[in-house]
Amino acid sequence: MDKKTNEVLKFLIDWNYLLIEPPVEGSIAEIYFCFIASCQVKGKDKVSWLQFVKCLQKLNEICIHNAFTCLPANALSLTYEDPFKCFSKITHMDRLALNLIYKQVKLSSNPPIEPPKTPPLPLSRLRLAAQREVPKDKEERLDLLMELVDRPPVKSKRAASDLYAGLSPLDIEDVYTTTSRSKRLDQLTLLLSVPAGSHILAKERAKLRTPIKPFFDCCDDSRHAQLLIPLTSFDRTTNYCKLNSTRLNDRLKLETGSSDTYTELARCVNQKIHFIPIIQSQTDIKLGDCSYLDTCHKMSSCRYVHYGQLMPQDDSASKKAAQHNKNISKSMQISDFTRGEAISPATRPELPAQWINCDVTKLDFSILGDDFALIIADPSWTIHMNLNYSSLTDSDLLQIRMDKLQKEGLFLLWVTGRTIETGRDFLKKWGYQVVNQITWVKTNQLVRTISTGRTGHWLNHSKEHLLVGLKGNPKWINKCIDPQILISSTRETSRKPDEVYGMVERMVGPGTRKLEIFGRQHNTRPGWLTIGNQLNGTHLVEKEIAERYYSASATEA
Amino acid sequence: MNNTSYMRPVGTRSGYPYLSSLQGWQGSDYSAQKSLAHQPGDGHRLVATRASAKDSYAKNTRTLASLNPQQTNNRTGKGNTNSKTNNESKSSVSCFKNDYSNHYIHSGVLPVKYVRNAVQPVEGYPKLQKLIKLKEQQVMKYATRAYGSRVKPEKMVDTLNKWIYEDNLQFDVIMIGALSENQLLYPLVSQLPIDKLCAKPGFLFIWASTQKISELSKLLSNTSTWTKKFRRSEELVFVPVDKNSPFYPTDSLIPEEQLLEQMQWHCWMCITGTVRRSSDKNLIHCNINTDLSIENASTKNSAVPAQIYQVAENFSTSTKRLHIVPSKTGLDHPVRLRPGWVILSPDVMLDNFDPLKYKTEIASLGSNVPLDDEIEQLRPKTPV
Ligand SMILES: [Zn+2]
Ligand SMILES: [Zn+2]
Repeated sequence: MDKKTNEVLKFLIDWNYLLIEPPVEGSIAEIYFCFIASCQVKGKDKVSWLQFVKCLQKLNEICIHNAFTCLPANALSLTYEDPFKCFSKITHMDRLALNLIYKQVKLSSNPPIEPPKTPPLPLSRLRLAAQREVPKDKEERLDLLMELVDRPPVKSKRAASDLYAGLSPLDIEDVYTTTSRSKRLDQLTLLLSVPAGSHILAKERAKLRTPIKPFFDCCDDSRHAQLLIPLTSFDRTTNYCKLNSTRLNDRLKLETGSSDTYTELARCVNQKIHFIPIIQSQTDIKLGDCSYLDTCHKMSSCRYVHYGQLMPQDDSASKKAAQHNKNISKSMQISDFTRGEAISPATRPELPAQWINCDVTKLDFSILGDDFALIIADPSWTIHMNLNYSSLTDSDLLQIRMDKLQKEGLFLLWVTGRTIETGRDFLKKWGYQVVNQITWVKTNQLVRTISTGRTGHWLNHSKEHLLVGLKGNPKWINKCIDPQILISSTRETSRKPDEVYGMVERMVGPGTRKLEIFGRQHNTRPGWLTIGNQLNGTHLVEKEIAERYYSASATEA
Repeated sequence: MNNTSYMRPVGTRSGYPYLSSLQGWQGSDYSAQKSLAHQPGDGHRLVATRASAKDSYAKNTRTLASLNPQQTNNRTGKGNTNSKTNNESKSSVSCFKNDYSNHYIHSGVLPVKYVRNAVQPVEGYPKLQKLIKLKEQQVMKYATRAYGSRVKPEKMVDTLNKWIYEDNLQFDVIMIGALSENQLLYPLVSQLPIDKLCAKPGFLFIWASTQKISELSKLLSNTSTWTKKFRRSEELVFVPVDKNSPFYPTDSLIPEEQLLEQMQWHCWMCITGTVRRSSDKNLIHCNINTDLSIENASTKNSAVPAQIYQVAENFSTSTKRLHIVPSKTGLDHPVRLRPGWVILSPDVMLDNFDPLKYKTEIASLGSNVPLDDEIEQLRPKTPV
């Protein structure tokens, strides 16, 4: 057998079933390209397309036409001018037959051809010392290199330098990787990492429908904050700092050509948020920042440093945002891309906020219906020490019929510390599969993570988790729009960040029914029904729910 | 229930058909939608008079035009007078805050990129900065030399058994896994003789990606393996800040199959035996680090970011630390050595571990980092 056929044979044995499975799917043309990409042979030894097909024919003949099953059956006896005109496929490859040929070739050939995957024998130190030759095979060379790394330094310096020179890779082709077919692997990785068109469209749609909220960078230049102390005044009633522009202008006028500190500062003040230290008579700068910052109750006597927020003066970005936000309702109506939507949101306006003040453990959930797209619950787990709710024992919580609320959809459950595991258990018991875990990174006024005090049992806690449970396989969910990490500052005890609403509304789309359990008045919002025992009465808009709710409470009375 | 705001609907023609059709929203009842003859919103006005009440969601709609402090104040002020009726808002007036999730949708910049203390987690707290620095020096001073033991995955159980039964080795801190999708290999990890290898009290740090968390959960709640000796105590999270970061989990992730973009790594801290937070100060120092670490410019690409090794070092005072990386981590995540740790992995950079030498070194070093007066005074303490 000639060298080229042997190369093809080695390649087929090496890759075998991978060539039959997607993405190659046995396409003879694709197999050829894979072969070319992985083959190191260049120049006159390069296997051409016609030669390649001939090699396949030859191999098939040796096996009495049993090596390949093709589609069409006579695919290998046809002639194709170039690979782009060949649409035939190999549907099955007889690996045993190919291996047998290979063995036979190896036995008959002289000298024997190195098998492609025989593990090299470890080089013994004695042999190595006697030999001091750099092996040709890449894997053997790696072994030698690793052995040299672990070994005490070689005594003869000259021999060592020869050895090292022989081992340094000359170019990228010379680098050993777990598969010598690394190029093909790179191609496949690239293919996998390219996002699908549907995903790009879903992201664009989310962009069109999400209002742009004002956004400003925070200045990270600590000198700016220092320079601004004499130029600003802090207003305790608003917690904002106010810039004294006349004073800044005076400094700007004084500034000579060579220095531009204040020019730079004036530009930065226009664009970014600055946090200005409030230096009071009792403040001791050496102590550092107050752990409570803007929520400190004793700000007038506290000796730690507090900060006032100076908003940027520039408003140009907001004009663009206003234009975008005006167009949102329009882009809701024009919906060319409807993947992941149950119905056009334009025909399904968001309902006003609804709420029921009740004891959740006693409410009959059949009143609420079983078609919520999404449910979010923030139970006061017993560890919370939350005084707003009489805390619920785990078994009380488990007994609530959460399983009755959805035919399919998402259930999000807030957990911390020990309840991460309990929460997972409960979601499973209510019929959900835990598919994700959102992390709320808790920040303070200065957009730094909470890191002081003793906020956890063994380690401090700067995050909380929101478990995401999924029931059924709803087609109307928009996947992978938001990241699983959310950054937001802490507010009153146990109050969760509002950013969550934006995230989940993008997941289930506009106009869907959403339920919040154990919510308070600040949680009520359009599109949501909120239930809990800290709400202002009951407010219902949907007729069916209202009727069921009032007839139930009438029979109770 | 007489404090409700619901008004009994008057049987007007315009209200009912619309409301009934609401039932069809969730299902795929398209015909109900087609029969909708009235303007959306008619029903709302009829049935609920309080729908436009300012105290619910009205205060959440932020207009863009008014952003200077005075106006923002007016707005927040108004919000407060409204919520006074809810007798819950006792907090001080809050200022404008960026919505980083909203910003991500429009800019593509990950929210975590805006955290301002990723480099120095205790930025602004000189006492804590000093504490962390002293701890680091103290840990370095009492660290064994960096050890690597290169062992193939299939030989790991044998190697560990040899360490346990022939060399009488035990470790107080054991980490398992790395930031690589292929790491948590149930069959292998469940076979490791961790219960024999880990002293009591002992501390375990075990890694999982969001995808593998259920597998880890299953492993740790399996009462027939070594894991029954360990209690789950904290869940640590490590977050990369950039999609191009070597720690951004790209392996085997297909956007179409994830509900949210997965980017975090979980590391569970488990404890075996008894330790008391208040009195065992020679064994553990609590509340120095937090359960969250964010990648920063100093995070080198490696199998495990240095930040998490540091959490373990600051928490337990033990000098006997072992890290098991059960399978290959790839070229982007080299298994680096770290002083004070023995690293067992199929591709650790050095293979220099010798149990006897290690035992001699520990004997001269002491099995715990000794107490230091200054650290003792600075560290957060649990009241006895
Ligand atoms: Zn600045
Ligand atoms: Zn203070």
